[in-house]
Amino acid sequence: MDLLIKEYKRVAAVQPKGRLDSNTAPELEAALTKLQIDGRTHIVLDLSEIEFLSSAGLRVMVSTMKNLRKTGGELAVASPNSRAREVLRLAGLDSVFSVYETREAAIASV
Amino acid sequence: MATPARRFQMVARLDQLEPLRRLVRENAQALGFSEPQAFACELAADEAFTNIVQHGYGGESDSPVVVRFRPGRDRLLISFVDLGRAWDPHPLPSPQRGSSADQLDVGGLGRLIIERSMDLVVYRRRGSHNYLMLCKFKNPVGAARS
Repeated sequence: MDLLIKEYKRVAAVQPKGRLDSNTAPELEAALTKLQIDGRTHIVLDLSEIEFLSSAGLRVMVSTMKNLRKTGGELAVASPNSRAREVLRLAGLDSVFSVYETREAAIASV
Repeated sequence: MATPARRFQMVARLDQLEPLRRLVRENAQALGFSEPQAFACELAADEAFTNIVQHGYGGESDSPVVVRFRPGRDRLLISFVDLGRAWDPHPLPSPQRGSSADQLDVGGLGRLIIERSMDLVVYRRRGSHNYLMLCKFKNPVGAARS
């Protein structure tokens, strides 16, 4: 899995590319944790290039969302492809995250 | 004609997930499963294998996990046999839907995904062995859950 991170003025956008499973989720967790340590409170997770997403990735997303909300921040999900949408639905998390069709819309929302 | 059964001896390491998913996809595609059906099988197998490694064996090791594919005319049966601790693949009632962020409990997410991805999930503990069977029907009309 590759991680592309782009920092805007108020928001950091993180785009994992490839497979987000139990083997690779720690990489995403470490990147998101570093952004929080650096003071980022608003993060957009762009799921447009995800080839595979399992519960390990969802756990990282939920944990990050919880942490950000404690400090008045937010995690928004942008551009989930059909596979990512299906996993969110199966896990019953599709209504828990703020999901946006485009990265721009997600950035504007947080 | 049905594809012959295949058996793979794997070890309880998470780097096995990618080859496992590839095998699942090959078997599902050979049966003519749709893309969503093949993906559901990949997802459930990934979650099952992860549970065996992390909960059954308590982490990565060289402990054995035997995976069998038994394709039928209208279904794919994937079974796992391991020697780890007993674990129940059936999920607890889901607290996720409609919960606030603070109330979210992500424990058991993998089991929930397995249950919702497949048409039949059967788990048995016999002696020191765990037997887990996942089944996906091509045309799931009347398919039962266990």
